[in-house]
Amino acid sequence: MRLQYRTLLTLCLIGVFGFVVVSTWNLPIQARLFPWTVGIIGLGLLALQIFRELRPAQRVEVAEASGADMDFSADEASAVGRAKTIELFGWVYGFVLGLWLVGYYIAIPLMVLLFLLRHKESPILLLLLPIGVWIATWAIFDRLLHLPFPRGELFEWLGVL
Amino acid sequence: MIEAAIEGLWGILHWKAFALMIVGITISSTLVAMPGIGSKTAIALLLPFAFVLNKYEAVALIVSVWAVSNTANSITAILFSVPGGGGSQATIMDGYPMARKGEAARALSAAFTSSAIGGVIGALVLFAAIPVLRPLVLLLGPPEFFMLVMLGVAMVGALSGKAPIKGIIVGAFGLLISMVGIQMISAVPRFTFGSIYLMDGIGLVPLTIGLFAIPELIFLATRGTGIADVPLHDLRHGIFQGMRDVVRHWWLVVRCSILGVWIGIIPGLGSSVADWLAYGHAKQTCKGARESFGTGDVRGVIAVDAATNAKEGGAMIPTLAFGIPGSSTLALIFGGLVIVGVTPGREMLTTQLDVTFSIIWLLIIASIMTSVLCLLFTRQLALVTKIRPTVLFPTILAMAVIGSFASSNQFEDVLVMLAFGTIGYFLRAAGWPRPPLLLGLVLGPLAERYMWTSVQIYGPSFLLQPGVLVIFAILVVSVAYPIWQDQKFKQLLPREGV
Repeated sequence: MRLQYRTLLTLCLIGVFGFVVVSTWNLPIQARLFPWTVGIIGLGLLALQIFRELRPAQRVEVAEASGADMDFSADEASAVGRAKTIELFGWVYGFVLGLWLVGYYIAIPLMVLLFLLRHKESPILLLLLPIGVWIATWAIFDRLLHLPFPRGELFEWLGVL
Repeated sequence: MIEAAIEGLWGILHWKAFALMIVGITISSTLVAMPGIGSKTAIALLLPFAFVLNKYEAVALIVSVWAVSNTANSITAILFSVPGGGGSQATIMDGYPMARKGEAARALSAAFTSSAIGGVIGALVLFAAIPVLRPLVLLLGPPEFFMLVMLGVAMVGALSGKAPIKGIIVGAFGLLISMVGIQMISAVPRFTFGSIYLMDGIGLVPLTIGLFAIPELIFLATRGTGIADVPLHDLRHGIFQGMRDVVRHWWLVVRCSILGVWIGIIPGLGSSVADWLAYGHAKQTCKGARESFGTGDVRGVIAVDAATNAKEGGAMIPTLAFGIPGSSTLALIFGGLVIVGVTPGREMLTTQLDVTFSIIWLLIIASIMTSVLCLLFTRQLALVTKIRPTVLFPTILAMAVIGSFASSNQFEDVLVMLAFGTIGYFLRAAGWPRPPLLLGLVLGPLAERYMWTSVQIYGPSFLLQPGVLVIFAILVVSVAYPIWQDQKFKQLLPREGV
């Protein structure tokens, strides 16, 4: 199962490199030369990689970890770890959706508060952390860096604010 | 050159730059203690601030985070046997047994002192390299620089994991991502799919935050608990003993620092290589080390920390002189310098020499200041590791999202962060190293420019220039050797029943 997933990722990369080579076909030589160079070399290496992954004798070898990059831990690979990971990605995606819908000033403290509530943190923390993060957002990024945080789309639709 | 050195020093000593350096040191020392939230994430989160800073201030903030990241990570290694980063794995070997024997303060003090001396030696080597590098860099033309850039991407790719081919492919993927946007020579849009946002290309900041911070945050939160669930050892007695140990073994500090500098110069070899090489060197050369190392010998701690911090000075040499960052963290610093209008490469040794000197001064000042800071606040820094992931996750996620948005004030940057967060997670899960992607992204525009200039000057025969052939030969060897080693190792596995 793991091997299939890995091979799928390699196939996706082959698709990306192939697309780069094909889609730049009609571009002028100045814009085509570098994508072709990188794309063709990349496709060659990917062919070698997929060959290694599909050879039965090599299957154990390709299950190697990345080593110097942060290794995938046993905690994350377990069923509980995978469920946690899906939940955490849900938080990240939900947060970004919240930013788009209700804007930064509401979505940020709301996400912090809901996350702390979900993990049953103390009432003091429930009060202080969302407010602290909100103040940091306002003071550093609004007042100091003058970031033009967009209003939430929801408010645009409703015509309020 | 003297004027540039003085100008660089004044730039760093300006109150605002100095204050930013202290902020950088504090952030770095605090964050590197936590596995997963390393200097890379810290720099990525701080990069948006570079837009409102001048070049010295940006250098002070961003470079200080990186320069001292190998110092504070000894705290968790020695006290809890948990490596704070790649460079502190070997510190555990003797640091943790020392702590268990009640010599935690001595081990920490020896680690911080040798780290400071290593940092200074690394900076001095960088300083000494400038007069040598200046004429060398001026001799190289676009064809050689093109091959050097390709060498950098290939070496980091080949050496950043146990799977060299995967690393090089990821580096090439980074080069592809750098091609998104309006092509600079022909003004033709490439891979923009009609999006106005993509015309400017994929931003370095949201990509980095997504690629590294999101998967690391997921990792941190999946673990569920803080790392320091054990009581702190006695941190008062033995501080001066640790300092005296470093003075007594000064020759070991010098040797390991030079070894660290040498590792740093080679792109792709990070702290995780420097620390084990230094440890191995000390074990082989120190009297009685074969018996005492691993049981709490202070020389094991001294050797490792001197090498890992000295490495940073060495790593700056190819980054500044040739524009080839030797690691993804240096690629980020490279990106930060570009934001403030300084392009690493030939400029750093000619028109922007003052910035190069400001980095050297910063390496010296920050190394010493961090060691003092760590000695004074060891207990407080150790306590930081007790912060629960349930508190860290939402706070850092909020900062990551704002940091991404701050890079160009567009919501699409947050979507880029989200996309690369997901890509980064899957790359990591499948054992594909992520650092080469960042290097490819940063070096892509440079490589394309050098390549096109070379073609215009020499035609396809630019590939036959003597300098190009020499660098190409180095490239082939540096890529083929790890692959050969990899194959050899795997052939041995079934026989040895590992």
